[in-house]
This record gives sequence, C-alpha cells and structure tokens, in this order.
Amino acid sequence: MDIKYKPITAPVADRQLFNAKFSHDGNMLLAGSYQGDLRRFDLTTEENDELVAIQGHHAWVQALALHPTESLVLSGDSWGTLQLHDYTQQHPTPIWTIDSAHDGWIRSVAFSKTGDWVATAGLDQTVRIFQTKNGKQKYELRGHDADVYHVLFHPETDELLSADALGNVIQWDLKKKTRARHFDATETFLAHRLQDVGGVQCMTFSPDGQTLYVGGTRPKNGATVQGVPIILGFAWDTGERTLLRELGGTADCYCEDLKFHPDGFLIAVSSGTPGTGKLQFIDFELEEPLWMASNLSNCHAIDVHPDGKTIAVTTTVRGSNGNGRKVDAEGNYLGNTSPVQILVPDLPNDQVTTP
Amino acid sequence: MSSHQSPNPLCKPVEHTFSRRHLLGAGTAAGAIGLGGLGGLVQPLVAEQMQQKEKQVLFIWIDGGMSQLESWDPKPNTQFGGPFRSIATSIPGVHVSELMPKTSQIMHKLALDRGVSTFDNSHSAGVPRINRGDPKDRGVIYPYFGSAVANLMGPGDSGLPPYVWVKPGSGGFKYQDAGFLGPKYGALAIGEGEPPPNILLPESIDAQENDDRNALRKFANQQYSKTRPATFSEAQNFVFDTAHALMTRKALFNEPDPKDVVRYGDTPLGRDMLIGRKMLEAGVRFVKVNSYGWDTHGDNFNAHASLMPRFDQAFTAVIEDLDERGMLDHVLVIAMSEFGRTPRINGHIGRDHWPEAWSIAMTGTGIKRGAIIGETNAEGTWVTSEPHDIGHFFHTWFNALGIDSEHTEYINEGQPLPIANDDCSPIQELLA
Repeated sequence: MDIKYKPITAPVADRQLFNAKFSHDGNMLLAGSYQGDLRRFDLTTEENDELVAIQGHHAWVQALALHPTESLVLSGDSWGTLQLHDYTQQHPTPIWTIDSAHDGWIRSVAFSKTGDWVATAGLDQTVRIFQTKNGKQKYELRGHDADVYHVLFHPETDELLSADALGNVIQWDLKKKTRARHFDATETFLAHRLQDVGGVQCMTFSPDGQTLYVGGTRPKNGATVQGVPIILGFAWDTGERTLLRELGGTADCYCEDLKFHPDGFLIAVSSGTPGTGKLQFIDFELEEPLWMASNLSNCHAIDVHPDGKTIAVTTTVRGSNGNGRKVDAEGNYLGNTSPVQILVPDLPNDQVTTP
Repeated sequence: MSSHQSPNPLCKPVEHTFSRRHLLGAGTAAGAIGLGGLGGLVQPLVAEQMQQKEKQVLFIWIDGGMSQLESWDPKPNTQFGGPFRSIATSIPGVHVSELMPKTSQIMHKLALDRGVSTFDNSHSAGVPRINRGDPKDRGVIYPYFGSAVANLMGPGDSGLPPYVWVKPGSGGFKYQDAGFLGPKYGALAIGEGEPPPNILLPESIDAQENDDRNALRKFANQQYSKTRPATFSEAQNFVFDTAHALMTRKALFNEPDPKDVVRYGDTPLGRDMLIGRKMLEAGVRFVKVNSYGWDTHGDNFNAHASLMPRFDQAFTAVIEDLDERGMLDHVLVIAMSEFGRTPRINGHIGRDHWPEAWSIAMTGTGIKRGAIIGETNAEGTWVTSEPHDIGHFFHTWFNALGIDSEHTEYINEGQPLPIANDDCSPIQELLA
C-alpha cells in the first residue's frame, strides 16, 4: 500500500487544545481546551473560522465524545462537570449539565453503541453511567485503585471497559456492578520515587471487535517522563495478550491515541519530550509502519473525517518549552497553543478532495 | 501588557551598620561544645545563647522544583492554571491546590510567602545558589544552610552530629555542603533510611581491644596530620566521632511504629520525614529531608496528582507531631525547592523551570504562624508584591533562630564575611 499524507491547514485557537473531533457532516471540528470551553472550527471556510465556543466548563476539557448518530457532543472537565450540547446551534446551550458528575477531573467519556448511555471515568477512581436523554446517573462503578484514565464500550456488544493509571483494564458486569474480567496492562506503569508514572492512555477495538488495543508507555523514569510508547493487543474472546508493538524510543514516550482507519489499518499518535511526536499508520502484519510522520510536535489526539481519508492530529507548537521567561516585544508572557494538523492523502491534485 | 516590565529588584541595598563588637573569633568556642570542637567560628557569647535555646531546623528540600500552581499558589480556571481546583484552608480567604487537603487544614500553623523571585533557572546554578543564600561573591564558597547552622549554633548537647541529611539513595559523609567552613561542617547523610554500615562493634571485639584500636587510630591520625592541612584531620576526626556517637544511638534506626507509617505514608518521603522527626527528637541541630523527582518537564499534572498527596501526608504528619510535642516552639521548619515551575505548559504537558514567581512555606520557632504574604498576578506569571529573593529568607531564618544576621559574621582565615547577603534583610512580616 502506497500511502502519503500532507498537512493542508492548521486551525489554531488562542489556548491549548486536548483533542479535535470532526462533526458527523465533516464540516466542523470540535476541540476541548485548557481553559474551560469547547472550541468549534468551521471547516467550510478558507481560514477554518472559529465559531462561538461552547461554554459552561471549568479548567481542562479533556473528555470529549460525539453521539454515534445525532449532532450531540458530550464533554467533561477537570472540575467534574459533565455537559451535553447540540453542537450545531449557533449559540449552544446545554441540553443538560451535571455540575459534579465526578469529584474532580473527568478523564474520558464515551457513548454506548446506540447512544442511549454515556460512560465517564475520573480522578475519583470511579466509572459512572448516565442516561443520554436526561443525564440521570444509572451506575457508579468502583473497583479501580487509581485514577481512571479511559472508558470504552465494545462496538458490537456494548460491554464496558475502563482503564486506570496503574495499567489495569476492567471489563464490567453492569448487573452486579463488579469486575467481569481484568486485562493486565501494568507494563504501562512504573512506581518511580514518589510518583506513579504511566498507566493506560488510550484504548480502541478492532472494527470487528475481536481485538482490544491498549496504548501507553513502558516507563523508564518519572519527573520528566521518558519511556517507550507501546500498544498492547488482547484477544477479546480469551483475554490473552497477543501483541506488543513499540512505537519508538524512550524520548517518544506516550502512545496518546488510537483510531482505526476505514481502510483497516490502525492510526497511532505519540508525544514525548517537548517537540517529539509521531503519527503512524500500522498494519500489524508488517514490522514497519505503513507510513509515519515524525515531524509533528507532540501529537495528543487523532480523528478520522467522515470522508474516510482526512485526518486531524492535535499537536503542539515546537519550541514552546524552555526554562525561564519568554515574553513578546511588549513584555507579555507567552503561552502555548495546539495547532490541529489536518492531513489529506498526498495524491495528484485532481484526486484530492478537501473537507 | 505585562505587569512585569523590568528585572525584579530582588535584593535591595539597605543600610547595614556592621558592629565590630560582634565580629567573631575563630576557634574560640571549640571544646566547649564537644564532638570534634564544632562551632569554632562563632562568638562564644552567641554560641552559649544558641546552646541554651537549643533551636533546631527541619529543612525539607523538594528537589527539582515543586509546581507552585499545583500547590501553594493555585490559579484555577486561568490560562496556566492547570486542571486542578483550589480548596479553602483553615485561614479564611486563603486557598491552596486541591492536591493538599491535609495541609489546607493546618494552614494556620504555617507561614507562606507567595512572592518568591530568584535568579537561576537551571538546577546546576539554582541548587547551590539557593542553598547558600545567594551571598555576594567574596571569592569563597559559602556553606549550605545546614552547614551554616551547624557552624553558627554548634551541635547542642545531644552528642549527635549537628547536620544530618535524610535522603533516598546513598548515605555517607557529604563534606561539600560546608564550603569555606571546612569539611567537618558537612552533612552526615542517611540513605534509604539505613543507618551507616557497621554501626555496632563486632561481638568479637571487647572493650580493651577497642581501646587498643583507638589508640592506634589516634597515633595514625597524628602522623597523617603532620603533613596535611588541619581541616583534613578535623574532618576525619569528626566523621569518626559521628560514627561513634551513632553507635550509642542505634534505637534511632529501629523499625518505625506501624501507626506512624500509616500517618506519614508508606513512601520514601514518609519514611524519611519520620526519621527526620526522630533525629530532631534526639536533638540533632539541623535535619534536611530530601524528596527527589519533582523536575516535571513532562506529564507535570499526572505527576503532581501522585506527588502532591504524598508530600501533603508526610508534611502534615511531621508538622502535627512537632506541634503536639511542643517542638514547633524551638524547631524552624522550611519546605522549598530550588525554583518553581513555568506557568506555560509545554507540549509534553509539563512545566519547565521558573524562578520568577514561586512560593516557600515555613513554620516553627520565630515564625509568625498564619502569615500569608506575597502575591502573584491573576495568571501566576509574575510577583506583584515586593519580591523576595533567597537572601531575604536566609536573614529571616537566621533571625528566627535567634541569630542577628545583619551583625553576625564568619571569620574565614581572618576575613570577616557576612552570614547572609548584605543587600538583603529579614522579612519582618514572617517573623513572630
């Protein structure tokens, strides 16, 4: 397979962004910010104009998911607030808000297959399930011994999984509110000095639901975390670990996000020491990636456009790190931003369709 | 427009009138204090006063740089504020990070300066400069705070070394901290909570044999000293005396009470803070407790989510224990790093080094408890109050210990040297 991609535009907000997700019609990009809002970009305009942001959050809006069929976006922030919005509204107002869905940082949210339920995971070591239509809590699941970093429904059976900072992945029996199965991804964790390092950063299923892929790092040290980004694969029927894939060296650190491409390969992004980031297309039958971009700085999230070709990668400004003061000509302290790289297949011009 | 247009004034020249009446005579207190003749540079009267007060220091060194924004000076819901909430404390109107729930409840027992502004943004320059109090360059290497206190105040009457450093990693005698004071004012380091090896006499050696061995050792030392600087043999004698003193205090290294382990936390810092408390109870003049691994250029927020609660637990436990025992009346406690961390969040979701605006916490003898001073702007980027450099803190701490920092001097081979940066002065708002 001959694959090449090139960046075409890069929406930039005045604040850092965690992620960027395409709307169902592909005309909008939604992104959770580091300062209490959900940014929206109009991809039909030449400059990817920024639309009115979705407000009502505090601090970090790291957890973001789109309803499988409707134009609804679920967002959770680091103060524990969970909200549902219709993202197509010009001035979005929440369909519902739960001020304290968790005690503190909501790390991950997910819709069930039908979209009737949402699952959330947080710093309070719990997983919770709410009804999408009214935000009413149905379950509170306890069983993790650390922050819960990721939550995911099985694409066919709607079984629920959650993964934590210690590298434990739990499949839940919702009737009993107990663990049904445990997947051991503790290779992604290291207790270093006083610090808990690593844990599961992301999860996804193969399109047929037969393999669970877990992303993280094999940590080398804490503080300025270093480690080898890895993907672990587990057979869904047996729970057996079937795969280990390294995505780079110790400077590459975390595998931050995983998504399957409609053409059947896995897309992985990694973020390491400042400036280090990779986007890789992986066919596990091959030892080397199908394609890789290593010139993107600190890749944190990916999404695939409904056209099945265009990809959004949330990155960081290279050189935004450094000790001491960095001020502009007027003496203003300089923050960081998160350019969203939109990549399209590098085909002859007459074959390129941009979103 | 930033409110910070020019370099911080930092230390401001002040009118210092040095009283020659307080110049110190080298070696005059030797012998009066014992254990290798410590306190040799301090004026006898001052040394006696210090001994009577038996003031002590617990110096908690958070190596690498604790983030002020995830601890003492949170700026929630701002551009650089990070993910965490702030929580109310026992002082109305004062908030700290939600990662410090236990500390928040003892805030009235602490003093906090949020207006710290120092020079160096590298570890290699920052660690020694901060630990030495950023003295003016007078062609000598100044001592770290622990060595300075060991020299100025002596070992007290505990029979234990005056400067003990409890730390992860290796132990041994760390002479480097002492600077021009000479190696005997270095630190006895206890690594990994383990006593120095071979602390007890082998059972096969009886008292007579031990006396014979010591006589041989003294003879060898005399021969060695004839051709080498006196400081060498002084340091060697000191290390031996230290080891000998510890031989009689093996109980200091007994297994801790399991209840204490629960309260302090079953972590390296919990273990070392507990040992630190025992050392203070036993009468050690200056105890430094180190925590490593705070240089969070990457994954700063997940790191602090696990680091801070462990610091919070150990720190609160030791403060409460010292308070319950009445020891805060004579023990000065300081918790600090070499700098803070950048407001800006880098691509590795980390914070880099930031000496421009950070915080130092303290309590205990001579310190006004509940004093929350110093301010940063709304985003935490710059200090908006009078900035305080480390020189100000050295003056403040010496004064809290009863040492007149503006009129007390070291004498280094005849050269009088101020004990703290003479362009700085004590921070009166922090002093009781």
